[in-house]
Amino acid sequence: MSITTGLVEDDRVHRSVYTDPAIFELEMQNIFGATWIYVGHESQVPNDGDFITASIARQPLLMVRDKGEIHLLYNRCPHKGAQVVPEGQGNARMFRCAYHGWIFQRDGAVRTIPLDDGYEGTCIGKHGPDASMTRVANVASYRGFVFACLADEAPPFQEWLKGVDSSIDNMADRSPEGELEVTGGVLRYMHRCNWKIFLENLNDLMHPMVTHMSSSGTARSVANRHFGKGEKLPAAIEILGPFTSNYEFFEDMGIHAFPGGHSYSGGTVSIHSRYSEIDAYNDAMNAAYGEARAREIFSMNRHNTIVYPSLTLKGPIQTIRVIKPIAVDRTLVESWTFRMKGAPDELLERSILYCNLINSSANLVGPDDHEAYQRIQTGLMADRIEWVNMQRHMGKEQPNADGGWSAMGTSDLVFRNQYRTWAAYMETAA
Amino acid sequence: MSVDLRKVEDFLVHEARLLDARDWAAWDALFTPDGIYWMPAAPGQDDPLRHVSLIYENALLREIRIRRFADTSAFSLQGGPRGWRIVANVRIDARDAEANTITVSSRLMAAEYQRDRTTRFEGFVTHRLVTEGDSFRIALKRVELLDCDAMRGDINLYL
Ligand code: FES
Ligand SMILES: [Fe+2]
Repeated sequence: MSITTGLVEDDRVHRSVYTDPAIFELEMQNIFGATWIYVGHESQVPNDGDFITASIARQPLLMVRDKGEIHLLYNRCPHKGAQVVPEGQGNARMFRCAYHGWIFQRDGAVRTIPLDDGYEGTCIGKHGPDASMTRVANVASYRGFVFACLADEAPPFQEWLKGVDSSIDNMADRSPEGELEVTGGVLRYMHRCNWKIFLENLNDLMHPMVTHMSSSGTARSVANRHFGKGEKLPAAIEILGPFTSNYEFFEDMGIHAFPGGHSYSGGTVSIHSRYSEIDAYNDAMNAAYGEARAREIFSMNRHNTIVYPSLTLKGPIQTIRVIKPIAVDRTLVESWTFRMKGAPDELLERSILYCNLINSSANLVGPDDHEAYQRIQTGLMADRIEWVNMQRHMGKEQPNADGGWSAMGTSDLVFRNQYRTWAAYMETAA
Repeated sequence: MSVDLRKVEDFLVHEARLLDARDWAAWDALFTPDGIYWMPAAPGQDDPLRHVSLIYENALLREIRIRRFADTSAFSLQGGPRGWRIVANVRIDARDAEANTITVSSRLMAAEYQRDRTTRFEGFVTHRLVTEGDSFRIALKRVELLDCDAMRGDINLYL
């Protein structure tokens, strides 16, 4: 029995999963504190001594590279609890706490404590383990994407990632060198909604043609005024236009769900599949992989992939959005872009343009999504209407040989699958 | 080339008042054909193409945004965001007689109000202005918010 027992059924969820602060706190323990959460990319700490601060479920972390290895530490001084490194990134030979000056090596081991003879005979004395920064229990990396699990016992990583590992592969394989590098800064967009509302929207293919008519539809009509039929369109129009593709397009894109709550929409076709070819890039890919393999890599064109619960990625345009729940009705969404090593700069510039246009809080697309999320958060305060419906295309999903299920693009399959996973996590005593 | 500071100030105030009045078309007409409106996402950001921005818009993107302002299906604009701007500390930082341009810096305070919520903005503004007869055209307007790299909610208006 848990406070969430009975709140998730096969085809609907209770409104309180989005609105109850007690449920949110339990999620931070039972989901964000219990499974694999994305913390950063190895390319953010390329050299020994490079560090970035990170977080999982509001807990401060520090990712450091030392002797080639990635270390993930709680960014919390073992003495009186001060955050050791303030938010940001940099390079350090060692870390010194700003409060009483304890000094730690890059792997978190304590190096010096002022007047440490005062600790003689204690668990700190001549540097017992309690004097060092605490390491996160489980860290794993896939194609440079670093995940951590705060619990002592983590689900087997490769098994957990199954089904969506191929989305990460495809994003990395699109680099002629098979490697990605975080670059171009970050957009940090604070959303006034529950984190699950944002997450569900990414594979909600019934919304774009409604929510994004004023941006995408307007982009199409402005393009029609300035460009003739068949004329090459600016990248901005290629990016904005497909959001208002018709229902048939989104239905045909298809949708796929996997154990662990993961999913992706699109397969060979998505809103990203009609971008202009860039010759120098195609040449680099053909040279690196051979034409047949390069074509195979490009033939995979997924829309949003969700590595449940916190990493979402778009392989064809090399961006990720990382979901950071702050409170029951507050969610920070970080958008990062990647350079594909060996690809011409034009590709990075397209990723940047995409993020500007779609993920910036000052732009044309994201704010209309955000408006919908806020209206859900407000609408769900109506407590006489207890349930949120998730029945669309129910029962029409097909099981796959890879252990997942597939359905037409506008199916609620992904939501049902997310809540099956959610309920399982929440029922487990942390 | 001698450009009178007073004239520059008048121009910036005129521009701000067009924005206050939501006369987007008249405001947009102040730009040169390849003029750019830019809100960087990092302090001191000098690369708009390989680093994300809050906004980086040429004439085509401004046309889309300005049409969207009048679109009743722009859901996030319902409940009419309204705003005002104060321009101050105007200085001419550089003059390029050959290109007929001046670079002007100023400070901006602005606010946006929508549905019981007021958001305040402070920023450093740079204008690259092309002198045209008695007045100017905007080749670049760069608004660097004081907290441009902070986590933030929506910005619905041009500042
Ligand atoms: S809290 Fe860090 S040294 Fe005391
Ligand atoms: Fe959307």
